[in-house]
Amino acid sequence: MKKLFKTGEIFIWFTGFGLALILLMISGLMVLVLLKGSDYYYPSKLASVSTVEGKNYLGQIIREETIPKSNLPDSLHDEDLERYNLKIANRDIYGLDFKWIEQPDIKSISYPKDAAVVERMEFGNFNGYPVKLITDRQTVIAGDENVEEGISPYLDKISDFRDEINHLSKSEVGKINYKIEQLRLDIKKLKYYNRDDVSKVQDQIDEIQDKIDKLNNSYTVISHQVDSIKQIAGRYSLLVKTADGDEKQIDLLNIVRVYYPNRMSLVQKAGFIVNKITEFLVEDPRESNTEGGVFPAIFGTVMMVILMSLVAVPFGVIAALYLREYAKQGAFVRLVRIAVNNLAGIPSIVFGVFGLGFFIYFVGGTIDKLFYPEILPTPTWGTGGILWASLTLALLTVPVVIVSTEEALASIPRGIREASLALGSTKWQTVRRIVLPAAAPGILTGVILAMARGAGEVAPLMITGVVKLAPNLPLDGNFPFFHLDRKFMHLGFHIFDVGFQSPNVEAALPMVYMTTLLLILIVVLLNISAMVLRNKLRKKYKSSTF
Amino acid sequence: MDNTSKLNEPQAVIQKADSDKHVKILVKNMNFYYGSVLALQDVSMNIQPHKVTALIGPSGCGKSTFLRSLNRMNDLIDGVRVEGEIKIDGVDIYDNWIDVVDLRKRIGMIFQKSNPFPKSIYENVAYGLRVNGMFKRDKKKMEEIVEKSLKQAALWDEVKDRLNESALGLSGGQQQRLCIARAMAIEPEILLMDEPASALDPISTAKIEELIHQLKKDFTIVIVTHNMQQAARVSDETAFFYLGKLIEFDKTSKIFTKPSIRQTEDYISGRFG
Repeated sequence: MKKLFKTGEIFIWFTGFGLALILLMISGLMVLVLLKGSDYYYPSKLASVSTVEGKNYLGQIIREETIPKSNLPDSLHDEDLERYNLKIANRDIYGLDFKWIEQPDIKSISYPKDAAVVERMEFGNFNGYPVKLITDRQTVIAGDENVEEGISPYLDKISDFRDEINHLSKSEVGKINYKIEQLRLDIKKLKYYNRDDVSKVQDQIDEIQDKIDKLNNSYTVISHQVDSIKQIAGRYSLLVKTADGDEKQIDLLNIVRVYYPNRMSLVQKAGFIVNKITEFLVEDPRESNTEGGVFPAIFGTVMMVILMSLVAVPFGVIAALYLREYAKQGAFVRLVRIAVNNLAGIPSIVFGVFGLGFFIYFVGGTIDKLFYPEILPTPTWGTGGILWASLTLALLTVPVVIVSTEEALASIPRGIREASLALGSTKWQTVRRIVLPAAAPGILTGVILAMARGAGEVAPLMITGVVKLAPNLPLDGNFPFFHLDRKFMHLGFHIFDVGFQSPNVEAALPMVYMTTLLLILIVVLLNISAMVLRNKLRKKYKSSTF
Repeated sequence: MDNTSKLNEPQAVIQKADSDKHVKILVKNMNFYYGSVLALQDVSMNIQPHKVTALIGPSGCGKSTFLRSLNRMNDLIDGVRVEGEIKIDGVDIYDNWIDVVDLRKRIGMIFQKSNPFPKSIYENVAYGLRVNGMFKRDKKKMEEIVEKSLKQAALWDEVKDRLNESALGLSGGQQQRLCIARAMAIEPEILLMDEPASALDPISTAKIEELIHQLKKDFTIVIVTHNMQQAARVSDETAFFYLGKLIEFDKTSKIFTKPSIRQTEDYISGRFG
């Protein structure tokens, strides 16, 4: 026993145990997120439940739980009560997506092969039995199996229509709107700067107004186009029977996909999962973010992290260089160092408040006053936007970069500095050609940490420019391409919003877990790429050894 | 001896060197302080051109400090103070107008631990030229100088086929010779060596010593060593330091055969130190 303590073996066990625990917790987290998110991408079976009262429900059983009899009123039950949570969908009929059904109320549960989930653009899913495909009130395809086989070409065609409509109403109309907005601002500017005598610039204003009218005309043309496409697409619809036998006609234009989870083969399921995950990654959100994809949020997160790094890394490295290489080491530098370390520990919301007060109200407000006085009080830069959010996060992460850069600089062996100086190079040449390249792996470690922190931070963003749904990406085809004043979407905020602020929280939960998973993956991906880069540099600059 | 022309002109310095063949480095009544600690006390010696001068003495006696004050490497340490005169070619190197960077270009230094840059072999040798902006456009000339320096350092044959590989892949002895080549590439007048072979195996050491013999004709060499035999083998003059003082400075043959001071004899014969 004594020997056990002396050799320290017991403590080695302890350390091993600690590591194991951490690994277990991390993998547990990943598994939990994956499982909980599976409702988003996995085609669960549809259960048809008929109750004693003679009602029928069709839905996925997403949870089963047992209520112990001690928690139930004595008079009613003498044994534990089991109940099922059924995702019955059909929000337009039932009003709710979910229903708890208790075991005693159930007469039978079956898994009918012809039950299908109709994924819609609006009102969530529709569970039912597809009966027939209708064009102009004429039945085109009837019969369960026939519909499944025959519907996909129609859906593909309609999907093309939908893409066309999207393209027209988003990109084209967006472009026109953007131009009209710019022209309107031009008029305002003219009027503002010639406010003493507007008649002087009346010609110019009229000219611009002409342009606006022209644009408005082309807008009308496009909206006519959209209408006609909608009309054509609107001729197709699917008739679906609910579990209770009611019939419901759903426009194909409103249908994303139809699938029969109870008779899907393994290959079909795999294909379905791939489809869903692709949709998740590349599509825009639908249904106030609870359906569809998260592409704008991914884009916003990545762009914000990149902007943040562009600011934080150079500043951090320069500051650390001065602190470590040039500043005279003394009480003041020590004080600065302590302050920098403390800065890293300040709650992030405080940075958010600072960003709001300084960047948005002061800097942005001043810019507006100087350069955009014509549209005040409508703010241009004096409101949240991706630039201000990135700058705020850069402030938040710059201490991380400073600290790690300083450490990297301190770890460069004295020998190679002296060697460089002895060769008649100046201090700056030594720093620039020898010290910085050799410190690059360490600096990169700081960058990784900073990026990971920046990508996961939400609180300061909520007051500096993140929104639930941004109409436009901060980077698009309209000159000047980067619109840093625009508000943006962010995965972290998306999780918060979908999970806790959306009208249908329960239906959105799988989305929350999927987004969480994605955020983790993005951070891991950023880290891995930086780590690969770091290892490459490290190999190149490993310090000399005998 | 006194420096009359205090021109900030390297050319003037070099001309002065021609006029005075017998003393390359003159040290007179030099005191050296680390903060308030006196590390070197009243050191005076004349180091002659194209000779190898060895500095010996037990650890902590100040010989490295002395060596490093010859190219003002000690300036990098906070709170260092030098009193007295150190003149190279008759010019006081601690004068205010002296540009340390220019000074160090003229005085190469080899350190105890080989310290190649984490760059390719070629870039290591070319580094001194690059930072001094020499042969920026003349790639051919640059290559010539790199080759010449590596040949001088007896390393060319071993590395000529892998000039673009990392210098860190070389063996310890090769790394040290690379450092010598690097120092020679900018053609200094003086080479300072701080125990250049102390971390090397006997074969590498022999190579370095052989090299020192050959370099003598082009450079003035000052070498710090712990190895008495090495001092005896390579040097023309030997200085014995003890507790921050220069005890004896004379021809090597004399120091090792009949030193005039008791302490020197005790140290050389291994009775202390």
